[in-house]
Amino acid sequence: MSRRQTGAGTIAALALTCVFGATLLLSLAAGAGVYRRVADRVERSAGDRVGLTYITAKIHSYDEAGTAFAGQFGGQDAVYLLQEVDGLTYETILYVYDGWLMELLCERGWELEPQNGQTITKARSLTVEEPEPGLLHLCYTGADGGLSTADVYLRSGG
Amino acid sequence: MKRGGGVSGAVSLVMIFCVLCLAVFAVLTLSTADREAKLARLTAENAANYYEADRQAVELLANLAAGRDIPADVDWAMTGGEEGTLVDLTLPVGEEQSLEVRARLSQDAGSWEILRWRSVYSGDWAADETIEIWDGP
Amino acid sequence: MEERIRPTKSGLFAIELLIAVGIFSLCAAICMGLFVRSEVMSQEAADLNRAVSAARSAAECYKAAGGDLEKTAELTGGGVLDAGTLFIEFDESWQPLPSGEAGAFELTIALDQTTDGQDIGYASALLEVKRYTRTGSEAVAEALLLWDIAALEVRP
Repeated sequence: MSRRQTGAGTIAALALTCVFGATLLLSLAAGAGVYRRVADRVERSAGDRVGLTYITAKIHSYDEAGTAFAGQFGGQDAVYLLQEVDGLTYETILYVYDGWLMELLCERGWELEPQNGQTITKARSLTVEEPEPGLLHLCYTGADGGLSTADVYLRSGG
Repeated sequence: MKRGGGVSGAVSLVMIFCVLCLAVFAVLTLSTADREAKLARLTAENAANYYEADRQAVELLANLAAGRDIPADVDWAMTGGEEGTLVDLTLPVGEEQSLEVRARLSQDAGSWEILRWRSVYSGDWAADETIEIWDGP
Repeated sequence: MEERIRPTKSGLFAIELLIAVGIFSLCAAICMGLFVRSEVMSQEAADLNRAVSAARSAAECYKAAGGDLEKTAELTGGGVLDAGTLFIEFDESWQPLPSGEAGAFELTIALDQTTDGQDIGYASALLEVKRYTRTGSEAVAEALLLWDIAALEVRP
């Protein structure tokens, strides 16, 4: 075989190798992109859902006359949940402080600070409104800035 | 032959490596998505169970107020009082939760006053005693 | 005597490359199928989660309104009332759409017609969330949720 034909064959093989290599890289990039998209979607969904679901589940478990209501704590909107144990009234306060959804359990009447609470999950803000007696409208901003809303109706009137 | 052999081997190795990477990505992505789908279905099922129990409780209160029969398998109790008839209902919400309802039917107004409508955990709870706590010498 | 044709270096390389391409194509096709399936599952899960959230809020507003659909529409912040049914439309990102605009998702609260006008002592309705796939003028609906909800008309 002549040198020219050998050279042409080598060039063709190398060109095919380059195309194959590019295809490999593109496939890997596409696969990584899909995984990243799925993981981002899962994380975003979880971030928006966890905090608000926690608050609404807590409110549903405290739906008794005079035990659940909206209020203010540390200058921010908060949800107050009261419980009587052995003659003492304890309050659970759900609020957002310093980038975290916090929960503070203490005896009613104690003047505690927002930093005394226990962190639940990262969050930016929580607003609580009562457009209708017994209906709490919650606006929750997750750590990634995603805004979620939820309504909880207290059949007992709160 | 040496140079050609080396390049040929490299192509095969790179191809195998990329196939392995793709396979790992695919399995990771599929397992993540599958787990998320299962969680979403579970969440939807729990919510459906809660609202079904909620609807049943409303129906039972309405039946009680109208003097209609209550199914025998319902956990309920009724006590009379000066302020009206007190009714306690407990309805299952799925396997591990219950809806506890307490309502008072005022005799003069003929309406329900809801005193309690809360969901409680009713599943088995076992304390974790795997950590040995030192209780003294 | 015939001349023996010796395989050239590039020829062997090309054969190996072709085999590698063939094997990679097969594996990549399988993996790409898994990726597509994962993407679809993930999107459906996200849609179901958002549907549950929207349905919960609408159901709570219905309970707060005591079964009054007009009041429910006011509390949910939107929606169109038509023949005893409340329609709330959402786009692909689950943002509420202005009244009357067809969206990718639709939440409906329809009053229970099975009572035939009898006073059963409470308000009952069917809450449904559907996903619409629109192609041209056709729209195919897929039910995501179906709940029976009730409200005590006499409130504390």
